Amino acid sequence: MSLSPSTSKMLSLKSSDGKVLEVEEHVAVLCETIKSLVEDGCADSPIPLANVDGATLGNVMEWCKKHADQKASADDLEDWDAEFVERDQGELYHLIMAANYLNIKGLLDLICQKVADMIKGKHPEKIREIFNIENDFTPEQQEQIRKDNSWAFE
Amino acid sequence: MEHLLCHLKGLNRDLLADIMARLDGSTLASAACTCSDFCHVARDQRLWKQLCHSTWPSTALEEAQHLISSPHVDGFDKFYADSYPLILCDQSASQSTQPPICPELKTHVSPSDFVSLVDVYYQKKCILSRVLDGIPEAVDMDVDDADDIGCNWDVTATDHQRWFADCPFKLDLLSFNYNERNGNEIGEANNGYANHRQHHNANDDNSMRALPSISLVEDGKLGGDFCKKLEEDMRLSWVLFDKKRGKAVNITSWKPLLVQRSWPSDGDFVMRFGCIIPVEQSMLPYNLAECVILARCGITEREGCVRWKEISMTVNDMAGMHVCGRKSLMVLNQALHCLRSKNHCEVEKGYGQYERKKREMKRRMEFKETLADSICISIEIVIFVAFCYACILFF
Repeated sequence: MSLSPSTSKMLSLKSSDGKVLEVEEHVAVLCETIKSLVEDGCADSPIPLANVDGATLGNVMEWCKKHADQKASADDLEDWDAEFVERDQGELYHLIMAANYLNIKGLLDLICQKVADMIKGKHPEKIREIFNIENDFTPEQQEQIRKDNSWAFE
Repeated sequence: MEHLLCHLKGLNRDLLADIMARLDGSTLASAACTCSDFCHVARDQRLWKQLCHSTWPSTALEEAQHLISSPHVDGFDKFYADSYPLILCDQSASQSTQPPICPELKTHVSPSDFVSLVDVYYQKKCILSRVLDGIPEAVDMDVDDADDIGCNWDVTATDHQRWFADCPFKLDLLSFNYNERNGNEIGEANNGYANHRQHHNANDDNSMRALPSISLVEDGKLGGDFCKKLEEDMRLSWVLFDKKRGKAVNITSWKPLLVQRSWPSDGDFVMRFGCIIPVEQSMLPYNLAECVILARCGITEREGCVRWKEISMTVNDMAGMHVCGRKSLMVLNQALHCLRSKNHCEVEKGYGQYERKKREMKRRMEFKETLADSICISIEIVIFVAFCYACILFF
C-alpha cells in the first residue's frame, strides 16, 4: 500500500481540542508546516496544532492521505476532490483556515476555487448572503460604487 | 454552535485575494459592491490587470501597456468595465429618449488619441493580437477649443487633412506592410504610427499562425460547412481606447455577423463584425451609424494555417454608404459614450432590429423608386396619347 517502511514512520498530531491523530509521515509532510518541523527534527513528541480542531484535522488528513497515494490517477483525484469539497460553509471555512495554517497549497487551491465557483455570476446581494456579510458602505459610497460596477449585474 | 458563527467573512485579506483571483470580471465587480473589505480586495489593480491581459492579450503587448498605464487612465478595472460589455443599440428605447448628451461629448478626441487593441480568437484561444496607435492618415487638428470638428476643419486644414476628412473612412489594421514599401511620408505625420511599424516587424510571424485546429481539413479539402464552423468558433474584439481620457469601448459584435467565402474555389473567407452606434440627428440620417469590421483571411488547405489579409474598420450609414473621415471620427467619439450591455443576446437582438429596419428602409426606397418610375411612364404615355390624338385631330 505505501512506500518503504523506513519512510512511513508514524507522527502524532494534536488538535486544538486535544484530540491526537496518528498519521504516517509521508502523508503528514504534504503540510509544509509539518514538513519543516520534521526536517528540523522537532516531530518526536505529538505536534500541537493550536489553530485546527479535531474534525477539521481529520478531514485535512483524509485529503492528504488520498493525495499521498501515488497509485491514484489524476482523473480519480479530480472526482474525489469534487466530492470532498461538497460541504457546508462552516466546514469550508475551517478547511480553508487549516490549509492556510498548515500551508497545503493543493488543498488551499481546491477550496478557494470551490468558494470562487460558489459566487461566480452572482449579484452583490447574493454574495452578501453567501458570505453572510453586511453592507457597510455609506449611501454616497454605495451609489458611487454601484454606478461604477453596474455594468456587471444590471 | 461554533460552526454557525464562523463564516466566510472571517477570511483574511490574503485568502480573500486568493479567492478573488479566480473570479471572472463580472463577479469581481459584483463582489466589490458587497462591503468595504471586499471592495478593497476586489479593486486591486493587479487582479484587473491580470484579467485584462487574459481577456485581451493585446493589452499585454509591450507598447499597449505603456499606452494604457499612462497617468490619464484610471485603472484596469475601468478599462475592463468599458471594454467588456458590447455596445447595445436598443431602438425602442433610443427613439423615445434621445441619447443623453454628456458634457464630455464636446471635447472631441483627436485621431492620434485613439488606440485600437484588436484580438482574434478561435475556439476561445487568441490567435492574433494587434495594437494600432492613432489612426494612420488622419492628421490631428487643433480641436480643443472648437465645439465641432467640422467648423474649423475647413479653415485650417491642409490638403492632406481635407483629403482624409472628405474621403470614405477606413482604418486598416494590417496595411502597414504596403506603406513601408512605399516610403514613409504618410507615416511620419503621426508619431505613434511610426512606433507601430517597428512593433509590427517584431511580431511579423503573428499574422500567420496555425489554428489550434480540429478537423479543418477533410480529405485535403476544406470542409463544406467551414463557414459555419468559423461562425461558431471565430471571435473578434476591437477595443477603441482614448488614451488621453482613459475611456474605452468595444466596437465589435464579438461573434461574426456574416461569414462568406470570397471566391467559391479559393480558401479565402470574409467575416463581418460590427456594432450600431446611435448618433445625433444632425450627423447622419436616421440617427444610426454602423461600424463594420471586416476580417479577410486565407486558410491554406494543407496545414490549416490562417493568413490574415485584411482586418479593417469602416463606418457606414443606414443606407450602407461609407461615411467620410470627419464624420467617422465624430461617430467613434460618440461610441465612447454609448449604452452597453454584457448580455450578448440583447446586443444581437438590437442588431437584428437594425437589420430589419435597414431592410424596410431599402424596400421603402425601392417602392418609392418604382412609384416614381411608374408615374413617369404614365405621364409619358399620357403625353404620347395626347400627341397622337392631337395629330389625328389636326391632320
